Formats: sequence, structure tokens, C-alpha cells
Amino acid sequence: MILGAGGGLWYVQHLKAENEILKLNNEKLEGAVENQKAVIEQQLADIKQQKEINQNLSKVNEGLNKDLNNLDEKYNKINASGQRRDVGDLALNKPKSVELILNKYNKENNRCIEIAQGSALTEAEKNATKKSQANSVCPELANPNYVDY
Amino acid sequence: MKGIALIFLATIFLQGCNTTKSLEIFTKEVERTPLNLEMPPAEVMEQVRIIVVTSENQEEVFAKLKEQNIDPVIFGYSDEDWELVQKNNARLRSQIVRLRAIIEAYKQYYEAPKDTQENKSNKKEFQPKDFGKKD
Repeated sequence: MILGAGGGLWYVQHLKAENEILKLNNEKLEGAVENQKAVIEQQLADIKQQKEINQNLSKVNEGLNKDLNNLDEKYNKINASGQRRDVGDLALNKPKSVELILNKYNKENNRCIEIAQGSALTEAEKNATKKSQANSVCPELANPNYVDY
Repeated sequence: MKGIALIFLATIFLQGCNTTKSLEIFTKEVERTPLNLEMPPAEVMEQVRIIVVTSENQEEVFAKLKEQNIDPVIFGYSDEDWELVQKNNARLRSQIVRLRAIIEAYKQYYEAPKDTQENKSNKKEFQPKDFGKKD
């Protein structure tokens, strides 16, 4: 009888211990679920950020493609007499003036390359709002406040 | 005696049902050290002088060069090629801007400010507890 009662007591103790383990396991699983939730949340945030980055890059590309197209238009401009603008012809007639224009263009182009590399804008560049103040080569890079109409 | 033996056997038999084992969950995250490379400083471009030479002003141009003690040689483009050089310049400039934007985007995505990441980890990361038998 005593042995039987001892066995029963031991068994109850054993069940209690097992119940404790199950409780702890449950806590661990709850923690794991929380962890998974955090991972999903992070993944959603990553997707959102990726979308934003792609949108920004698309905007940059759009602006740059527009500039390249503008350059094409600039060189193929039709003058008042209905002919395509010809830099060579202008240079033949007014070499000094064209030389001045090209040197100014070259200087502005150099500045554009510096800005493209990350050089900070000067106050004059930031504040330029008129065509005469703006960089004629890359106003979109050099003059954030200038709007070309 | 038989009863005792039965109880003893039953206890041993039930003991065999003890299959519940403690779960072990390991969470170990080792973050990569950010590279933190600095962007190179902007190269300052040299100012190049452009000279327009025509059949009419060539003598004057070369005379001026000699006067300034510069070799009377001109490396030139035709007007068409000049336009192409400018287009090439514009393409190069665009490419620099694009590549910089991509580098910036990568930095923003993979090297977010440290405090933000720490905050996130404090808030969300599951802290594994020691559920060992020490408790």
C-alpha cells in the first residue's frame, strides 16, 4: 500500500513538472510568434522603402532623359528663316562671339560635372531664378529655384 | 502482493508516456559592420580655352598663339563633332548623377542610422529566455 501511495505521489509530482514544462513551452512559442510578427513588420517596411527608392530613382532618370532631349532640341532648333541652327555657320560669321559663348558653355559644363559629383551649390546658384543667372548647361542640377519656361 | 506488483508495473508503463520535451529556440543575429565608405570629393575641372578658327581668321589666331609663346597648333572639332562632344558630356554627367543616386539609395537602405536600428531591435526583437532547469 505504502509503495502504491508513494508511486501515486511521485506520478502526481511528475505530472506537475510536465505541466510546468508545457507552460514554459507555450511561453516560448508565444515569443516565437512575436518574433515572426516583428520579421513580417520589418519585411513590409523594407518593401515600402524599396518602393520609395525606386520612385526616387525613376524621377532622377526622368529628369536626366529630359535634359538629353533638350540638348537634341537645342542643336536642332529651327531659326527665324526656317533653317536648322548651324553652329558652324554662326562661327564662320561671328567667330569671336561664338568663341565667347563656347567658353562660357565650357565653364558651365565643368561646373555641372563638379555638381554631379556632389560639389555643394553656391549661394548664387541656389538663388538664381532668372535665365541670365542660371547655368545654361544644367539648370536642373545647378539652380533648384530656376524654372525654365 | 499482486496488487503492489500491478501498481508498480502501471507506474513504469505510464512513465513510458513521458515524451514531452522542453523546446529549444535559439535566436542569434550577428549584424555586419557597416562599410561606411566616404564619397570621394568632387574633382575640380580644369578650365580649357576654346578657340574658334575659320579660314578667314586662322592667320590672326596663329599669330596670337605665337605672341603668347604657345605652339601654333590647334586640336579641333568640326561643328558637327562639337555638338557630339557636348552630347557625350551630357551623357557622362547624367551617368554620374544616376550612379551617385544609386549609391545613395543603397546607403539609405542598408546603412540606416544606428539608433533607429537599435530602437527597432529593442522594440521588436524577441529576447530568448533561459528556461533551463536552473529556474
